[in-house]
Amino acid sequence: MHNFPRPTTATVSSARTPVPGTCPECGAESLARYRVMSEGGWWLVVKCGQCLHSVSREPGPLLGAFVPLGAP
Amino acid sequence: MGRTLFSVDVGGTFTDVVMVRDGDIHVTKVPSNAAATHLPVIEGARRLGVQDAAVFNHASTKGLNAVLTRSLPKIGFVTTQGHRDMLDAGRCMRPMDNQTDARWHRPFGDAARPLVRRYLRRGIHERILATGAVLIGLDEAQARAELEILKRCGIQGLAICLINSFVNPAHEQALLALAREVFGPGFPVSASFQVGPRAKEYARASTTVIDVMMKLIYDDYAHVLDSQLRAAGFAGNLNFADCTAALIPWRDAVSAPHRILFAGPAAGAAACRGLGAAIGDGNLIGCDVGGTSTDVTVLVNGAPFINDSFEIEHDLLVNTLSTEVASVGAGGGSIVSVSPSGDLRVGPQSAGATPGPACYGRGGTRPTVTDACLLMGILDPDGFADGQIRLDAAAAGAAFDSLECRMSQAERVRFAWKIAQNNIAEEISRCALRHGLDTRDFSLMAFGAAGPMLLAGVLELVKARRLIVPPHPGLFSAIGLLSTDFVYANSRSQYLMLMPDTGPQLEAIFGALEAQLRERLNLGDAAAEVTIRRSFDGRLAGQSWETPFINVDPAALKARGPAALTDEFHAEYARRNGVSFAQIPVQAVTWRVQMIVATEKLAWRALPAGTGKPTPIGQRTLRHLDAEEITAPVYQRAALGAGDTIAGPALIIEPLATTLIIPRQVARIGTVGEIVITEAP
Repeated sequence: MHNFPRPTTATVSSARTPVPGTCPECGAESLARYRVMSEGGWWLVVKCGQCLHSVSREPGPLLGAFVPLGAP
Repeated sequence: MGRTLFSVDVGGTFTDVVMVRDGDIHVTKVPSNAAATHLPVIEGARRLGVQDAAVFNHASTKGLNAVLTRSLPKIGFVTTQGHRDMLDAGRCMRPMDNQTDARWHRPFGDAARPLVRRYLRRGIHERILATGAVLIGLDEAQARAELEILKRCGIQGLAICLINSFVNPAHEQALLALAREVFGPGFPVSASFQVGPRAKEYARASTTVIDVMMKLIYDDYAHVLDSQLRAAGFAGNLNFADCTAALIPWRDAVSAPHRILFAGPAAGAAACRGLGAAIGDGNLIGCDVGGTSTDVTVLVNGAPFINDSFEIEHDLLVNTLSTEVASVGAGGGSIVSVSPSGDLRVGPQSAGATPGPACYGRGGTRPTVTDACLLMGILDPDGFADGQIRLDAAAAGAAFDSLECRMSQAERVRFAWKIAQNNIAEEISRCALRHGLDTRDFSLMAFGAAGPMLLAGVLELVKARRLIVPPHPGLFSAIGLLSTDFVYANSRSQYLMLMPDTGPQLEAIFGALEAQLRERLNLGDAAAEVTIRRSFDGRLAGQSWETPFINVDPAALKARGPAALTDEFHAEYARRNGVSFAQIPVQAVTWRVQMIVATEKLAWRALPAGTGKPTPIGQRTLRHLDAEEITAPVYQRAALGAGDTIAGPALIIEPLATTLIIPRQVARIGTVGEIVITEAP
């Protein structure tokens, strides 16, 4: 049986990579690339941290953060 | 001498304009203009002469089409934090046909065509409990920051819907004030406590979103329409019809425009009720066969079924009283196609107004029901839509030939015509069965431009008592707008089990609603002419859905207390569903008060008696109706008198419609000019 450690942070979150540029919707300079789970599976998105507008959206890894033991 | 009355029904293909002057009905049809909807209305008003009109009653599909095609303004939506995706989830109900289809998407969901994109839906830190108590106070700083973001995104309007605001609207009121500060006065904002303080947050939210969108769509339109009508010499009152075809002064209508979204189909039911009263027939099934669809309405004892909400698309709800109208994708413009398995199909896709059926010669290449009717000889190529459109039989034939199937052209045309009729008959039977009714007890009312040429065959299929083709069937819905009253309404939700000791609470609720309505309307001298109608939406204990619009008789309530309401609920439940559960207690959910101000209506005039056996003006060859070609006499409707009898097969033509009487049927002209078709004895 697996024995996972208890989380050490209050919430879980995906690491966000800052992306240069401004949001075409609200003009804020807070774009970031990260992974989201949405209808259709995992997506790699570039979103505005202010208004959450998706600047780009492309299919992400099929299983998200999970990497099967047999994966290369 | 009566006043001059005007009405207009703006459809996707044509704008129908009706004028009643000195009791005579005058009509005209103007091609609709999607880019400038008001122009055909003004054109129709000028054609008939609007100068001396006392009223101009208006119904339109402009808003409905904007939602269906998603030609919508960009709006923001704010709600309680954690609930912004309710606009994506809806009521989590799948259509029965798609229960096991993994690829099905909710049509208004984020993966399809959302009304408000997700980043424009913002959560506000606050929470009010179902009791009305505040669990989390409104975080004004966070709310202001969210509104500022929406402002930077360039939204054109804002919808506010917080959880449980129908019990306690304090946070919505504060947000509304904040929105006025951030966006400035005059910015279109709809808050759910104003739009309709009803229980169940999803329907309340979708209604609020639709409301602010309709404000943006209808406000400019109504102002332009009013000013241009004034410029054309009109000095009367411009009214809009709501979803039950009740009239509202236009300024009131655009203040809560979600109520006028579905007015056109409701107007058809109002027209059926008006004509039914004139000819003494209250049990009617109205079939409005238009270009894209057939709208079916059932009237029992002269009353259509009224619902407390309607769906624009599957699960896309609008909370407002609305006439129950079922729609099936079978109309004159319904496209005939071949399925992958080789079946001939009719609809639900439609050629619409553009390009229209192939025979319109406007670029359409796919065959439609109208093309079939032309090839069958039912339609006159030179007399369609009062000669405004010349029909091209060669183009219609080529469109049918282009179908990839082994049938002959004659079989394709004949089967397409029959399938369209079967689709309509199926919907009629479904509507009747849903209410536990037998179609043999009802008369079919055929209207819409395509109704009179399609429904003679449907009469055979559904075994209704008779088929009635009203005068001016192509504009009958517009005529319905001259058959209704002004209705001002107020409602609120409050859950209450109807028990012997709840009488005082009922009086308090209704009294408060009436007082609010009187204050809002400031009726003055007109107060004496007002009829007040109280009603409630209730449910059997344990149900999660309501039976709407249960009438409350004040005298019965005073004499018998809440028992009068429960008895009325069980009677209405039986009328709607054909079954009653009188032993189960009743819970009231939403309370309603309506103030009805009677208006001058169209009075159907008796038609002078005819000769009994009218003379045809010619004859036409009907093809594909039977195995052999049939020669049918053609009659001019305007030349017919009351009591005239015509045996099928025959055609009765008028400028904007053609009535087909098939073999083994007989038509008799009724007292106000209606054509009554029955099986030949």
